[in-house]
Amino acid sequence: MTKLAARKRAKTKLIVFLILAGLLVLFGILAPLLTPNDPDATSAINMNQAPSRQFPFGTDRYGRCICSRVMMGARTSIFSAVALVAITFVFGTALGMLAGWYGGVVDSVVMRLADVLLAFPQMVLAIAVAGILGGGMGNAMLAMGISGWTGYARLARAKVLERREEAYVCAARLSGCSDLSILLRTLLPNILGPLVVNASTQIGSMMIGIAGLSFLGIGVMEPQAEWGSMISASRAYIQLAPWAVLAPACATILTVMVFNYLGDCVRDVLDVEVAK
Amino acid sequence: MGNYIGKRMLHLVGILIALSFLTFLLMYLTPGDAATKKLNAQGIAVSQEVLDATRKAMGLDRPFLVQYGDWALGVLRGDLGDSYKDGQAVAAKLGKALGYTALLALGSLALSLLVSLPLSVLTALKKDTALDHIVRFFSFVANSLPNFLISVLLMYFLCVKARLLPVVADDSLRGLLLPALALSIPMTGRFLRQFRAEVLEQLSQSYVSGAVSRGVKRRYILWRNVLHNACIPILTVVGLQIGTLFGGSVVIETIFRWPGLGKMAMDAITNRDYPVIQGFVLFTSVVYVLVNLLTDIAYHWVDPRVRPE
Repeated sequence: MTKLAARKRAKTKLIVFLILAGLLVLFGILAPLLTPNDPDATSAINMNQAPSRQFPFGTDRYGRCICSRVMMGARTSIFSAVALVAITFVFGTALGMLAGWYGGVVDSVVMRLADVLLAFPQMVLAIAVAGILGGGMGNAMLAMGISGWTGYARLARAKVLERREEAYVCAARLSGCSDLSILLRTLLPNILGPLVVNASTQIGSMMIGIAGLSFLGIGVMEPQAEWGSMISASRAYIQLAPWAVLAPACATILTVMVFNYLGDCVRDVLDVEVAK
Repeated sequence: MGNYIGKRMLHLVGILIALSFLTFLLMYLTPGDAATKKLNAQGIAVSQEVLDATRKAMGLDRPFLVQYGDWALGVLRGDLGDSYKDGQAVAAKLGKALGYTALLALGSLALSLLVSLPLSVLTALKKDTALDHIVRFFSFVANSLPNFLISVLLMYFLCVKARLLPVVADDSLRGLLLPALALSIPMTGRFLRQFRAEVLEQLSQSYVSGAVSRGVKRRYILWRNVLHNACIPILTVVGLQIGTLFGGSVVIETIFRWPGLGKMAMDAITNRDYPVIQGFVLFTSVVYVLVNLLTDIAYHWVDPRVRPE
């Protein structure tokens, strides 16, 4: 009975945080319609202004509205993290499933590549790649994604190896299904659980990673609004205009927390289902 | 055991070769010509003659694999090439900066362990009490904080608002405090979570209830069995953090101007000083691989059950 209650609680929590995360995504999508001011409009008379009715979170050193920039930054941060997780998820799962299904050379090549990429500390590799490519959102995503797919590939391969000899897979084979059809229709739905858990816990850390690259000046670049680069640029003026740092800082912390908590909830709910 | 170590060593050699190859490839694929980049980094005007001579001197006219082989042999002799910027040997630069990063990494690791070890055991023993919930909440928040944000907030509240510490740190122990704290906060969050899970896992084993029912003192079970068994998985968790520490050091050392490996790497990125970036990536990866190999071997050495025959 208590187990049932605990599961129900975990599910309710998951729904609450799914809604919260959904609201953040929606907020990011609608940001251009909601901003009180033009996020890129500079103004020499409004430099480093304290929060007021016109500028709810004050202005930065170029007189740009912090509130509007934080809102537009939500778009950048959430979009880049979610897109990156989606891309690495699809890419890694596909490679891992192929490796597990076909074995042999495909397996060796994919898994050895994953081994080597995992031998680099992830942020060191990301910083080096982003630094060499010279910044921009696409390059930052590429830098984070280079080793990001390996986790999914390993997991998908292990799960396919575990299930490839199961009766239902043999049945599908005997009934003349193509390899592609078996992989996508028979195996994928059966191994999706742990992969989704992995993906949902990755969103928060990808967000932190991209913000970190932007902070170093090798991720998303000015004038595009992004929380990491806003904090980096405003940090020299922190005595004059602390709001220019604190507003994007709070936004980052809250967003990462919501997505991390969502990841925990997904894990709690799906792990139970998988174990069952 | 000897067999296992032999196998791992063979695997290690493969990984190291692949690591060095990928690192070399990464620099080889950088946009633009290496000779031009070197001359630009030194601020020398580029004419065709100078360019050709530099290219020849750097051996860029040779095939890719020959260049890699030459570079790799140099690496084996401890020669990582020379900095484009100041012509110093990369290995010497790394050696100079290494001490600072090691100090920072060990300092933050010590801070993290000092807090997370006792607290995680305590929260595992007092599972689902108010203390457990509070600590878990804090570890969750700490884990969600990017380290650059912690640094900026620490600087603002401790240096600017409270005026407890100088904003620009010198390389004394006082200067070490803030960067070590900034690195250790997210790490403490992760440690608390993983250590607590380890201890709980051990506490739920049947040997614990068996010992309790035989009347063994709880304190004895905790110290002699539970913590002893949780030790090695904890060591593995710590080993994996070395990679995060190297990545974090780039951010933290740049913010606090701590003259370690991370700051050196970031300066090299700004100056497009490729041999230094290459040296940094190769060095940190090799250390990361070696540390994790050692923890793996320790794991197998202590726990005969996972020892492959």
